Amino acid sequence: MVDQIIESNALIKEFPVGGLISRLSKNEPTKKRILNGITFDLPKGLSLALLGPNGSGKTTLLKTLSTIYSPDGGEARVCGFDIFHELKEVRKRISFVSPAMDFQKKLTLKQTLNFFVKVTNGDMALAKDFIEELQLDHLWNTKLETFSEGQKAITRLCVGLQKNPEILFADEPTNGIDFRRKQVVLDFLEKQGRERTLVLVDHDPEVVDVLCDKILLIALGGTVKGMVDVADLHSEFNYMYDIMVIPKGAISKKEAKDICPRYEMIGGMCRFFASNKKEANEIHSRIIQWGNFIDIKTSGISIEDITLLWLAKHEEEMEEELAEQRKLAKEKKQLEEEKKKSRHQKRRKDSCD
Amino acid sequence: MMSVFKGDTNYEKSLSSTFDVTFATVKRNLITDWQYKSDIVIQLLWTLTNLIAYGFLGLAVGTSTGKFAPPYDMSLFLLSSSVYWTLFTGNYEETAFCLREEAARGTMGYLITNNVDALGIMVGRYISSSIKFFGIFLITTIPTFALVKNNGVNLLPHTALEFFMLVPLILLAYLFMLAISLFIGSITLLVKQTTTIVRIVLYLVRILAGYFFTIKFFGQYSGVLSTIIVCLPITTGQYALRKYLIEHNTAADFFGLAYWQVILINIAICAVLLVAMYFFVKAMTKLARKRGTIEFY
Repeated sequence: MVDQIIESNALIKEFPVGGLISRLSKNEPTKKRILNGITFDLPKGLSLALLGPNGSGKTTLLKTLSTIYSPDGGEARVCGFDIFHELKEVRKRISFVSPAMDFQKKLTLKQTLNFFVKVTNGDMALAKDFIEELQLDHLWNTKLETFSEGQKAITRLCVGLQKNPEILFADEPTNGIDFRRKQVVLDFLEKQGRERTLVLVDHDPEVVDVLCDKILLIALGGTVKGMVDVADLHSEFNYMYDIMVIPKGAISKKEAKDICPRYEMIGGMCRFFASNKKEANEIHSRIIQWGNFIDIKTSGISIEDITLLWLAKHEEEMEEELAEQRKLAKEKKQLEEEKKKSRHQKRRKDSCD
Repeated sequence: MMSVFKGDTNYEKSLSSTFDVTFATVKRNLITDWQYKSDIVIQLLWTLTNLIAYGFLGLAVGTSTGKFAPPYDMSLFLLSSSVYWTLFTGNYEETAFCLREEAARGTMGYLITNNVDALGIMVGRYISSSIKFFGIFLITTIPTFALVKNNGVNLLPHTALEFFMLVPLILLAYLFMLAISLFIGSITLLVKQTTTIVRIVLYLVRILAGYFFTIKFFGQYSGVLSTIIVCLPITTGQYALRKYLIEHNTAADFFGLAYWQVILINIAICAVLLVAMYFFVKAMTKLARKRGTIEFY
């Protein structure tokens, strides 16, 4: 019985920089480290969102865990199997869906699914069920060249799910799907998430809210900034909008608190948080009344922002938790090495006897 | 899916999986290729253009009197080259680029994470392309054979025995070109700009096969060189096809070797090359996963 569906310990991924000739002729580092010691555990039954700024290595982590890329260091187990040495076992249990995935345009939906079902040893009945549930069954015999981006996104999900994987790794699964159908897809994926683990890269707060239990925040440079429970995040930071103010001079803490008690100072600027549109409008009016500002800007707040706020507040405990995790991983490794050593010694002793 | 190889051992399961993938890929490619009918017409025109160009080139040269010239008109020599390579050029090129196309379509990552190996995809593409180009071969060559009459020699098929002796040699040439296609195709896992490499290899193989001049020519450097080269399955096929079409003698002397000896050597070469390519494709896939180029295009 596996307690953790994903265990990653100091996972490293590097890519060569430049072409062969430029690497030979220049005295520069030939590799760029994209993932720099990613450590986290995901308990079975939970779903995870990978968040972070562009270039932080979210998609690389997704592709490394789903065995498309081979890691360059560290350890990782997916569904209890080592991603370095037990590739086939891992691949039997996972599926990977990317928005870059396109299809042969001249094939019908049925022919396309038939192909993927055959090569993955999947289940056509399951694929049919998904198509019906996602209201695409009327396109069963239609060529994919006429499909909209949203319909293609749904086809991708069906291709990913027809093999009934334990984990579905998906990069922006609802990208391109229109508002009306997005809800259907989210409901569908939410139901799927109860039966399997979803590991997603998605910047859409709604997708993360509905589908994920945890958020892994990755910082630039490919390190783990922290892991947060989505439920904790909502109970502490139920924010939808932020209002950024550039004051003429300095803004005092009292002045800021009078406008809205939920705020943070960033350099000389002040950022207020609102839970809904009504509250955002109220804060906006209070700032106008106060009047001592150069510029004011209201925008929707991203799930990454909220995660960062949560992390800033809990930095100390996160550090302790991470240190504890690293310590446990080190102890586990030592224990395994000792066991290996004693087994080896026992074998040597037996052979001598 | 039920499999013909449903077995107990991992080896049988792996074989079954490769078979299923290959079969599914062949089917998908044939359905897709058939949808692009205009492309098939263009391929037909391209083949006809080649046949006409080389036929006329041969006519312009006429009967060559050089030391290494064939004992018949050059138009027959070059026409038989074009006819023969109708069977191997298109499938070689399409297989060489199929992984790149799969990556461009974005399905490479999905297939890799489902234990679908590059080998299955490439073999599937080679088989479906071979079927397509065999169709084009039939459409273009039959009228050519019927039309061409040169100094009393025509290219119409001859005795059944001669024909059946030719078939295994052509099949072995197919296997040889499969190995070459796998080699070039798997290079695209690492190097993306391979169009010129594909052409270079094609021309090298054509030279060795005796497309442009007789392989007697190689004998001037070493007596056994022609014998060695004629043992390459792709050369044997070309050599035997000329003998069959023009000299009406498939079982001709293969530079000192008998027909059965050449067949055995051909089988050995194909077996060694295909086993080597199996491991080469695996190694290139591993390297491409490490370097992150597996789904770039």
